[in-house]
Amino acid sequence: MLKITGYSSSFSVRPGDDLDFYVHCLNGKEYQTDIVRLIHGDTNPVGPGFKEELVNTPINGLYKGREQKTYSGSYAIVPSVDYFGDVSITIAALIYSTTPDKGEQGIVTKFLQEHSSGIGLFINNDSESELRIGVGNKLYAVSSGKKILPRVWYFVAASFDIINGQLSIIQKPCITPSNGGNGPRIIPPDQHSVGSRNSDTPKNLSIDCNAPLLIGASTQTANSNRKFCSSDYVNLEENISLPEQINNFNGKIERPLVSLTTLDFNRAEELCINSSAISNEDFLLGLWDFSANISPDASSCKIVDIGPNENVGILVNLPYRGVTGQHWSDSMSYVSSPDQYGAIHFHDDDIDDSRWEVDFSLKIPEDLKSGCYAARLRVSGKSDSEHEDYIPFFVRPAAGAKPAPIALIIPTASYMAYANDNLNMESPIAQLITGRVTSLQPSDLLFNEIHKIGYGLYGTHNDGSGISISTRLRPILNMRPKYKHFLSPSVRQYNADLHLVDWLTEKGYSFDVHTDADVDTEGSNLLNKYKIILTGSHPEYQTEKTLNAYHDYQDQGGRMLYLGGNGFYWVTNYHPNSKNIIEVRRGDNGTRAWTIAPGEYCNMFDGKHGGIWRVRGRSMAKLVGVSFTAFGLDVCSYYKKAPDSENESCAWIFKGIKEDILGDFGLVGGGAAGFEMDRYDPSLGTPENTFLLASSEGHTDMYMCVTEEVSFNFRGYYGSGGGGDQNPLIRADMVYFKTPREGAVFSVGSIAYCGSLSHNNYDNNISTLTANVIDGFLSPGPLP
Amino acid sequence: MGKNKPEDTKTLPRNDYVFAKLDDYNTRTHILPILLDERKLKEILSEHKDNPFGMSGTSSKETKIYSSELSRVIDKLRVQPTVGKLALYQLEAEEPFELIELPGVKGREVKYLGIKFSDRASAEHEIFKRRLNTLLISYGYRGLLEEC
Repeated sequence: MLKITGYSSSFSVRPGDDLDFYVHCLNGKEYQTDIVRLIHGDTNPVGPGFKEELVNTPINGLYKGREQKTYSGSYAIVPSVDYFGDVSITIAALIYSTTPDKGEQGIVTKFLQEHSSGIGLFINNDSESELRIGVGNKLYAVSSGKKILPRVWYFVAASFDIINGQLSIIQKPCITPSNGGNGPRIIPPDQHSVGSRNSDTPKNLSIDCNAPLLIGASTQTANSNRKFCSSDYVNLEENISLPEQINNFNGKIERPLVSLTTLDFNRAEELCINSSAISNEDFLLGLWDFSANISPDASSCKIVDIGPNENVGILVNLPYRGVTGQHWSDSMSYVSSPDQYGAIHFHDDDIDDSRWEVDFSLKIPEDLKSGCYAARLRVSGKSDSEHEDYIPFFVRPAAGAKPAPIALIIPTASYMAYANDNLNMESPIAQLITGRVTSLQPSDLLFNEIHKIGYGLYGTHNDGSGISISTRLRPILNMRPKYKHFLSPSVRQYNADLHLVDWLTEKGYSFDVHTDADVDTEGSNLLNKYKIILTGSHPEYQTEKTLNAYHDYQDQGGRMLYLGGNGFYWVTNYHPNSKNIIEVRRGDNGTRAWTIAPGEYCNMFDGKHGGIWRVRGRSMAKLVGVSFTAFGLDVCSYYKKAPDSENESCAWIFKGIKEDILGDFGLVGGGAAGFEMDRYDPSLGTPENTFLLASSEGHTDMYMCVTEEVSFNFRGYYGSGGGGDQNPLIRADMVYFKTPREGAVFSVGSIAYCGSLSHNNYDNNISTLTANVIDGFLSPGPLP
Repeated sequence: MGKNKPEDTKTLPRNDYVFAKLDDYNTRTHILPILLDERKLKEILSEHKDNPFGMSGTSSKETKIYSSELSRVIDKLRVQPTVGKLALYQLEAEEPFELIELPGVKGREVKYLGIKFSDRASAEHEIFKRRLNTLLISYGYRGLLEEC
């Protein structure tokens, strides 16, 4: 198992910026840090081999290691409530549990587990709602006596009468034909009735404790030494100390309330379900209306108390907002119908930020050239894969520096999307999809060990719902040089993009690097500085702003090489206040890891429809001339020249290439065409003036058509039933077209393409072809 | 009167039952006849040994895809649940591949089986044979692979 890992405060920096690094080192051993420039990360002995250059910086040196904890699992904290007082209390909420059998889960609590003190409304180990009071050496509780069923809405209320020493609870299903989403409408008759019980306590019990008021968890220890900082992605008047939370709730909570009296349960139900007007007689400490601030988007980490005390809560670890509530009937947008989306979905594995301590900081040297860099960490002076990790980052050119002619846009949003998928260990279909047995590496074992750092967008939460938010403020263990990705015959994503970095370096091209987030921030103003824009091998996750930037760049005469496959595909959003967090709601169309829950199509971060760009009228073919068509993960194939390659407008692209077969070699699956592939298709927006230069053939029957092309399933040929040996839609098309103002686009439609560039010491037809296009695009004046 | 008690009439927990039942039917109907035919069994073993990962074409040779018999068998073998599923572990790029069992549960450790292979193709074929053998044994057929 890998013994060290970490992350940085940003992917993207410029000379003069400060970059913090956070390191987790098993057993607190000493480790060596060195800053390196990364050129080639693929260790395949058939290729050029691993290439890095040491960069001398003041921070290179030995450090004392330490283990760092991660407290994943989302909840709300109400910092302004520190004392209930010796009073009667009522707690109520609407709840929709997704894992009622998981064990104890906090709904609304001010309960300190380590001292068994305080009060809280829980789901107990018998899957029942339970009001619990702890006074140190003694626990008092009353439970509903009825199991909570998964994915069913309930009204739950409980009260503690301090004067009479009585606990009471009620648990009542409140199902409509639609509000459970994919949950049942009919539940067993014996579960449909109301669960109601009473229990006694001594009179005048004093129950307060120093745990904070939490929604969706309870408190293990009051202070974890971590803070939600005002510098984070939410504006706070002051930093908030966070507890070490426990008993995280899985599922949705809506309109929780705390009243400092024994509120009649009918009145509590009016406040929760009927949204009745609040009265002074309700003695509300707080009633949190989660629908109150979800328009025009639901990205806020603050929850609104509509009661008289305005006790604002803060959401920690980014639970999902803009999700259907108990009142949901038919709306498809929380923006237009916030009242139907008054719930928050909490998960016990949500994470927004690992919140580790800083171990060292680097001021980016003023003379550091733009490129791919990393902090290389080595434990015990060893460089093997159990003792060595890299924390990658990307250095942009200095502000005001003369730009290089070429910019490579590093697809960092895609790296975040694929973060820590762990499907090779957890998915029963992983070996079926890849067509081979999984081979694990030491970093895979570390992720399995510290999986609380969280998964990316290809996983599912512990409650089975899809993961739609990914943070880079945690180690991304599958975004590393040397890493072989299971969703590839060899390498993928970051490590595959280093194939292109290596080729550009070997060929002596001057280029700058920028990240997806930089394009999102600066738009076409950034792109327009360059004669040529290069994509990476898999720029799949794009925001509306990045799509607009590429469109504008093309319209203004930019020249672009799309050197990958399945790009510009998923509707992606950064959190409005942070480039470290992305969101993708998968929708119910497209080749996807999971399907969105009913009614939850609109992105939490911008309120617009999620899914693939194609369903919003922005097919990738409109931008790069090709559209995602097929994928297979066993082996790759080659392109064969098409008639347009001999067109007089295209002949320059093939200068010096005599072969008809292109790229029947390479480090990714043995060929330039494959893995994930795109095709030319005017019906999806490929421009009419597009030249089809080459097309692949010879794919195995492991290659299948993408699901968005399949409206009916049937065996053979088109649709899902025909593999690469049968279905002519399964191919990679290489295309070229001109755009306004002497601009142009060259697309290869294959993730594997860049893996062929270094073959035969960089002397091969893929290398020649790519150089021809870049040299031609760099030449002043019109293209032939 | 039915034989079941009222509490046994819930249907949702039977999802796994019916999935397994149908998978068993399909295995007996479409896969076992391949494996119990000595000639076919030898052919798919040989075919897999020669081509454990699939083989795309090049300018000098055509794409090679699996026979329908091998495809049907290998898809069945690859889709097992992850608890105890065979996999490989490699320490370094050119180090041997070690046979392991996946834990199937987050956070639990993998189990090292102490068997190493110098190349991935040999490991892939060995796992194919082991899974075949396990499948045959589960249907009461022991020793068939040894005879091939």
